[in-house]
Amino acid sequence: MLVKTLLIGLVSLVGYSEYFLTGASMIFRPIALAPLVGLVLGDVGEAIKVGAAMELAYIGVVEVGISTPQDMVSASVLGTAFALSTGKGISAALTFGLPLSMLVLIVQNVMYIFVAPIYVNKMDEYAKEGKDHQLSMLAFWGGTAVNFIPSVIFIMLAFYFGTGFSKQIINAIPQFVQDGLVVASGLLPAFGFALLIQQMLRKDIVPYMILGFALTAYLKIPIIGIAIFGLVIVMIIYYNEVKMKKKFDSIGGGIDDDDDENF
Amino acid sequence: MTTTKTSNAEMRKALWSTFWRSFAANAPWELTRQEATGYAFSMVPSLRVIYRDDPNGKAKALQRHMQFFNITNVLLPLVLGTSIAMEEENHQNPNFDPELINNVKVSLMGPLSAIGDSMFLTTWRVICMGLAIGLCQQGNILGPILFMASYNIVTIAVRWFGLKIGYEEGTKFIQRVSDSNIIQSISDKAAILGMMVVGAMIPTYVVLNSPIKIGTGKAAISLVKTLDQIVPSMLPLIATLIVLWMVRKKWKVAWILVIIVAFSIIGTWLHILAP
Repeated sequence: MLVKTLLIGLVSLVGYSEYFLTGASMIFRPIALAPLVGLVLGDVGEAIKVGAAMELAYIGVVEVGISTPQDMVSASVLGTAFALSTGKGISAALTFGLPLSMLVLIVQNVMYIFVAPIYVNKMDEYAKEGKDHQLSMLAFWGGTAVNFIPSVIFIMLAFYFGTGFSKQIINAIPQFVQDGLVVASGLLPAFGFALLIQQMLRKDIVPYMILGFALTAYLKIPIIGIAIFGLVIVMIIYYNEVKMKKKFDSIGGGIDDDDDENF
Repeated sequence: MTTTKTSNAEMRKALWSTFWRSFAANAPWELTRQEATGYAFSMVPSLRVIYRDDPNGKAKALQRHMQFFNITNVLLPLVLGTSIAMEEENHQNPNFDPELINNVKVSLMGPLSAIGDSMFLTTWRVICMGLAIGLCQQGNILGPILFMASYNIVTIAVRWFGLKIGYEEGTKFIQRVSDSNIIQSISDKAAILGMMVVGAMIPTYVVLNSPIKIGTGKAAISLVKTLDQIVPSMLPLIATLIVLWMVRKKWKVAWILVIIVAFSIIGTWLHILAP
C-alpha cells in the first residue's frame, strides 16, 4: 500500500508537470493520466475506459486565462483510483473525484495567495541584482514546491486513507444516486460543449455547428471525417477570400498596400 | 553588427535553452503577475548571452520581464522570440527605447491568447480527443498514446517555429501581423472548424435516456425513439442548448454543475431518466 501510495504521488507529479515541465502538453487530462493510475493499480484496460468516460465528463474544463475551474490532476488520479478500487466505474470516479478535486483547488489557492508572493518577491530582488542563476533556481524549484507539492501530498493522503473506505462509502450511497451519477456523466459533456460554444459563439458561425451536428446525427460520420469536412470548408473560404481580395485590389488600386505583394 | 544574428553559435544555444525553459514557464505561475515569473525564467539564457558584458543591462532586462504577462503556453515561445530580438537591438543600439519591449508584449498578449486558447486548448484538443476516444472506450492503450502524440506533435512544432519566427522576424513580424488581419482571420477559421467538431460531438457523446413510454401494454412506444425519429439525438441537443442558455445567462459554473448532477439524480429517482 505504501509503495502504491508513493507511485500514485509520482503519477500526480507527472500530471502536474503539465504546468512545471511539459508545457501544457495535456498530460493532466484524465485520458492521459488514467492509464498511468491503472499501471500502478494493475488494471490498465479498465483504467483507460474510466479515463475516457471522465475525459468526456470534464471536456469543458479548460483553463482559459486565469480561471481554474477544477483541478484536473486530482480529479483524474483519485477518480480513476476509486473507480478501480470500488469496481463502480465512472459513477465512483465522479462521486470521489468531484468533491476531492475541489478541496485540492482550495489547497492550491491558499498556497497561491499566502505563499507564492514570498518567492515572487525574492525573484524581484534577484532580478534587481542581476542574479540570473538564483532567479532561475527559485522560479523552477520554488514554483514547483509551492504550487504543486502540497496538492501531490493531498492526493497521496486521500488515496492512502480513502482506498479502504471507498467501498463502504460507495455502498452506503443509494443505488438511484449511483445510477443518477452515471446519467450525470452522460449529461456533463453537454456542459462542456456549452462552454466551448459560448467561447467561440458568433452568429455567423452557428451554421457550422448545425452542419456538424446534422452530419453526425443523420449520417453517423465519425469525428475525423467531420474534421476533414471542416478543413475543406475552411480552405474554400480562404481561397475565396484571396480571390476576392485580388479582385478588390485590381478595382480600387488607389490604395498602395505593398505588403500584399508578398503573399 | 546586427547581421550576425542566427549565425552566432552561442545565441543559437541560448535560443535552445529558452525553448526548453518555456516548457517549464508555468512552474512559478502566480496570481498577481501570472506568467511574468516564468517569462523572466525563460528569458535568462538569452539575456545571459546578450548582456554578457553588461551586468547592469541584464538586471534591468530581468526586471523588465518580471512585469505582468500571461499567454497560452503554446504561443509563449513566439513572444519570447520577439523579446529576445528586441533585447539584442536594445543592447546594440543606444537610441532604442526599452519601453517598446514590454509594449509589444502587452499588445500581443490579448489577441494571441484569444487565438491560442480557442485553437489549441479548445479546437485542437477536442479534435485529438475525438480521434482517440473510440480506442479508449475499448480500453486500448493506443488511444491515450494517439491523443498525446497528435496533440503534442503539432504544439511542439508551433512552439519551435514560433520562437524562430519571433526571433528572426522580430518586430517586423508584429508589424505585418497587426497591419493585415492575419490573427483575426486565423481565429475565425479555427472557430469554424471548432464549431463543426463540437456540433458533431453533441450527438456522439451527450447521452440522455428516458425510460418513459407513451401508451400502455404492447402498443407502448419509447419517448426517446419517437423523438429520435423527428430529429436524431434530439434530447442531447435540447440538453446542450439549455445548458448553453444557462452559460450565456452567466450562471456560476459551479451552480450549473450542481444543477446537472441534481437533475440527473432526481430524474433517476423519479424514473424519468435512466443510465
